[in-house]
Amino acid sequence: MKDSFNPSIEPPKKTVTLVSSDGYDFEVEEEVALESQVIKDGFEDKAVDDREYLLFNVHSDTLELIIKYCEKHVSSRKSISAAAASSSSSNGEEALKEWDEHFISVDTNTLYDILMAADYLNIKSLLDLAIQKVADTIHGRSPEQIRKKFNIENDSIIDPWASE
Amino acid sequence: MVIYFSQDIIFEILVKVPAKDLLRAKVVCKLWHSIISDPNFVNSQLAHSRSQPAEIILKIYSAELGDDYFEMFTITTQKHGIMQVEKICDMNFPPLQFPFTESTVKASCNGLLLIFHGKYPFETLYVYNPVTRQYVALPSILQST
Repeated sequence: MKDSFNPSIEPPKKTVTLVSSDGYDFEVEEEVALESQVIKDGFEDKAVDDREYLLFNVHSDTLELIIKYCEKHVSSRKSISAAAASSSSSNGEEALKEWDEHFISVDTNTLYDILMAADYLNIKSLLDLAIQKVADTIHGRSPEQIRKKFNIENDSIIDPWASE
Repeated sequence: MVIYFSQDIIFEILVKVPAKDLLRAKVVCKLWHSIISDPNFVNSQLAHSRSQPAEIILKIYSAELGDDYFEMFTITTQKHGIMQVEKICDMNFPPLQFPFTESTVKASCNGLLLIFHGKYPFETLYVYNPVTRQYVALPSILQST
């Protein structure tokens, strides 16, 4: 009974507007935006009606992905702690890890965009995820393959692996 | 599209690369070489790799085969509990071969091996890095009589 009229009296969710480098507005819930340490720092000092952030370095395509990641992590944390509170068994963390793995399995350019945005917005868990993914691409590759992959010019004097 | 990562980001990426791959990464360019050679980097990389669940097995062949030969593998647990075994190195130790001598791995720490080479009382102790294949002979210990 009680549940049926709850939504109408619940206070509206507080939101924040994020503006991408190409000028698109994204309205997201406050707690989702606060996943970014950069937004979190000094958030309380900002007036409530001034909670708009211009993200000059983040394109709307990337921002959409970043928001998707933050929303997933906020909701997963809630369900994991709810499961822990009711001491019911949950594979929430395992499922989230798998979700992360799927999320970060993107083409190289998208991966680099996510990495740069996570660095710029200071979202530690996402930055770690992206960095690990880039590090994995180095595994088993020759120096020449690595240079090609990362667009690096060979300025080394000697290359003992050149003949391999 | 060309993307330039900051030096901090390259540092963080390389910290997460296994030591064996770092040997190759070191010769990619001068910047990577200087990052990987930095003692701060070495410490960060060691701290990271120690936080990873991995086990190492050594398979040692006896000197009777004519070689002081060993192979080294890492075992890591992947998703869904699948174990992955990867050979890191196989080699003779030390590169200098003496006839009728034996090598024994006595201890390991931080990825380094302590190796006894030779027969009593003419043993030499080596600290050996199997990934970089660098080693140092320790000064001999004179036993007091």
